[in-house]
Amino acid sequence: MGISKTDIGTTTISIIATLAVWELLTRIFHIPGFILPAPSAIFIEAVTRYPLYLYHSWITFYEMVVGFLLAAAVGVFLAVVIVYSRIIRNMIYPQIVVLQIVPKVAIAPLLLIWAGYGLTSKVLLALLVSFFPIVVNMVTGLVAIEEELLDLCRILHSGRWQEFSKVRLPNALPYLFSSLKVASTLSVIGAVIGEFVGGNEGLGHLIIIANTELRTSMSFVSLFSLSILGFLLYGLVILAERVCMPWERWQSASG
Amino acid sequence: METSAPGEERHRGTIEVRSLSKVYPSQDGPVQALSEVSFAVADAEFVTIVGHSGCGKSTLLRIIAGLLLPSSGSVTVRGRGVSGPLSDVGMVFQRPVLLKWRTIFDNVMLPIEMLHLPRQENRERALDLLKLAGLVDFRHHYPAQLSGGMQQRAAICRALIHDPSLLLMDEPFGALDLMTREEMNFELLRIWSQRRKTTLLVTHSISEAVFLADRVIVMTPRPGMIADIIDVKLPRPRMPETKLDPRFTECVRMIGRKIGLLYI
Ligand SMILES: Nc1ncnc2c1ncn2[C@@H]1O[C@H](COP(=O)(O)OP(=O)(O)OP(=O)(O)O)[C@@H](O)[C@H]1O
Ligand SMILES: [Mg+2]
Repeated sequence: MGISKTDIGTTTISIIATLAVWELLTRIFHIPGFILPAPSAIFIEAVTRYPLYLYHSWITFYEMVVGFLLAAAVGVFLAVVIVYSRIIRNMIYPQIVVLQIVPKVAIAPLLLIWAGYGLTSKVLLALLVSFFPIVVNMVTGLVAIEEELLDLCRILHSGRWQEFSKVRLPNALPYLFSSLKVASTLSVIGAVIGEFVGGNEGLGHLIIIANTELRTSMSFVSLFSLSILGFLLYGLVILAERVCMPWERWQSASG
Repeated sequence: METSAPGEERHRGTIEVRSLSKVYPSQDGPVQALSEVSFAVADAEFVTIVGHSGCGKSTLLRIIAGLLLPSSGSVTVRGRGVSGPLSDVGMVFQRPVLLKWRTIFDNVMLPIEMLHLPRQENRERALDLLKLAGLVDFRHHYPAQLSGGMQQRAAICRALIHDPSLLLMDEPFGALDLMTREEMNFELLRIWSQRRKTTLLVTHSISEAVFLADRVIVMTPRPGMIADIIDVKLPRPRMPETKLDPRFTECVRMIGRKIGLLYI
């Protein structure tokens, strides 16, 4: 998937057009700022109070990144264990699925009780929200090996470790990275849920305050900041993917 | 494991298959894949196996490689009973199954790494093999950058790198188009003439079977039994003209008749 200059051009034009229409509508219909602030008002809010947003963005980013990294570590570890031990698989798979089915919003208040109102509870929520797809994809990647390759490993007396490190693990990388992309966007949700439920820091907290004070432009700046953070983490994952899998460049080319 | 027979040198590379049977358990009752199969392959001999789909050809190769246990009967390789996967075997499958994250060179080196053989000495061997297969210029490429035929040639190099005494090939060119396939037959014979391996090759193409082989094993449909073993009395090296030789066409026609009759 190459991105050409025309692609960037059309996207930019479309964004500018959307903002222009939005600005015009709020002015023509005199929409009150607390219902839908004009883009200009949101921009002014962002520029005049940027240290506030920077600080809270940093807090949220920290929570989601740490949560995401832990989710990756826990997810990969669980997947390896599940693939290699039938007993452990039978023991933990049901719990993992149940954990995934329970709405995380419902667990959030409990986590706050257990882990406190600080960053830890938010990190844990980000972890909980995002680890499931990693486990599932990683298991698939470790298992989806061509029968012939496993035969080859046996002929070459590879042993479990070499079969894992030279065949299964690299084979799982594309699966892992596609789940990491999903997880990176989920971790934002986790962190914000945590901030909604309790605490006094982070963009989620700002959104709550903005709502109670009917300062809608503040909500919007927080929302935009959240999207930027999500994009940032997503971009970092794609960057890591490129570095870790140089061969993938040729996969799509050959079809 | 049996102890090696006296005069083991004479047996080097020899495969002996004795009244081999294989029954797979399955949901709708047991499936008899092979029944009382017996034959022997001499050192440095090139033997091909033809037979209808599902007659147990892959099963036979996997049992010889020690990847599958027979239900009854036995296989000895160089005088030793086969009881587990043999590392003295080079295996080529219908698909190249290269590791897509490794370059061609690193793919060819995989057996060296897994068998913990000295890397430095074998780098030279790998380069020689790649040269022989016409792939040296592509050694730093990833598999996805190569055509199907080139990938399969790389897979053949990988099968030969640890200098096994047996080469087992399961429809190695089945996935290729006809022209590439004929090219690959020459390539294979060229490589084989330089590194004389005892070779067993499964194919669906009768003319390919005759063109490559010293002997052709014809198998019956399920359960797989040996219908006939045909000596191919054609001179080597085989050339494109070989296919015009009346002995070649006669051989192909005879095997075709045999398989056709079996099918009725
Ligand atoms: N793991 C298995 N379990 C049950 N039955 C099997 C299994 N593997 C093979 N069979 C059966 O054994 C028979 C022989 O299979 P095999 O794969 O050896 O045939 P083949 O001659 O290689 O066929 P093809 O030419 O299509 O590759 C088939 O009827 C197949 O259905
Ligand atoms: Mg087969």
